[in-house]
Amino acid sequence: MTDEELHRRLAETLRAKAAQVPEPTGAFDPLAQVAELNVRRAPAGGTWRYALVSAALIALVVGVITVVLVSRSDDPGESGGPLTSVTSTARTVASSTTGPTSTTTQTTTPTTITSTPTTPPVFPPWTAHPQQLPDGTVPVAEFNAYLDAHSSVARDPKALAVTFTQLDPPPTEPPNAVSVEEHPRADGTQQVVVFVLLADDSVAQVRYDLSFAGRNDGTWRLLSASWSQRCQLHRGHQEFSSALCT
Amino acid sequence: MRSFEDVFRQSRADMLRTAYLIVGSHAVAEELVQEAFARMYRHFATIDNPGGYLRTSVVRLCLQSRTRAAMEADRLASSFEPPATQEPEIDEMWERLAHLRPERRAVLVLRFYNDMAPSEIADALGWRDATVRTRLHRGLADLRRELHR
Repeated sequence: MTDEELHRRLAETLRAKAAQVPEPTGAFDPLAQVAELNVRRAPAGGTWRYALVSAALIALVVGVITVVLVSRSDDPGESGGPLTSVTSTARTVASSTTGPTSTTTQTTTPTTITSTPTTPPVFPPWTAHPQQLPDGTVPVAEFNAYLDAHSSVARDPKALAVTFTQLDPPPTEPPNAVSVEEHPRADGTQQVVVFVLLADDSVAQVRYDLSFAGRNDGTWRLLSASWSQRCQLHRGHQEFSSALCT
Repeated sequence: MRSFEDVFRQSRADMLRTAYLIVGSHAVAEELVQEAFARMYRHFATIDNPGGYLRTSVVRLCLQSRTRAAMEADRLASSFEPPATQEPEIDEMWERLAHLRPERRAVLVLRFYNDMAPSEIADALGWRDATVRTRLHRGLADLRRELHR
């Protein structure tokens, strides 16, 4: 069965079954419905019992957290001895500075990753999805304004590319859905290309091409962004382009 | 701005059909649509887009309905359920749809009955675009597999 035939049969079935639903009759008494909804939601046995259960749960959670924290502080660690805390502190410092270690990591070209390490956010997360304009561009002004306001997050172009394209955490379907390539340019700018595989009927893969410029303070801003896509077999163009798939 | 009564009158039948296509039971669909209207009534003054709110609410309630044990089985058992259409293609497809996961079935209904684009479905349900496309793709693949059994 072809895709078109499956779609047609499905649409016909849904329409036919929907047509069997009789026109609803009778008035709606919203107050009665709301009252019923409230009764359904109210805990049996009165409010005091609800409060008691909530307090018990909170006490249990607090107790578990306390036990975990106490056992961690007593635990000498995997490598044993007090050196563990020193090592982890050093690792944290190394990853958050712009010293030689992180510079070396940034200039590895091209690299491909399938997932991005997630650190607890200490700033409001960037939640806007990239806006794919018909001419193949993606507006970057709002993202740069966000970086201006939270410049501590703007130190790694690859991580910024993942944030900008809303791929953290990366989708799990299809497998290996995301890959990111980083290409430093001679003029000091950094090109980051993000490929996203889609489990879609028509679009096979989307590509975001992002250009970052470094600043004297060690942070980066997005100079420009563009998008393109490649269609599934027999669904349109096989080269990356902003043209629609069929 | 439309009154609650206007929204109720204009949207009720449409919501009922959508809910029925997702849960596969007319009686359950009626319960869920009533609940969605009751929820909307409580916040009606603050809702900018009642139609969108209602659709989102109905679909979410439909997705939760299979996990809600208290669906008053005896009351539902005696109520009206649409019969088979006697058209083999349609009845077979309807039977196969019943085997799909609720979220995949919901996406197929919104796409192929309500004619919503994947991005509209994503907006309505608070899912990512890619999630909707994946569920659409997998729902169709499941359906195809079911039909070939």
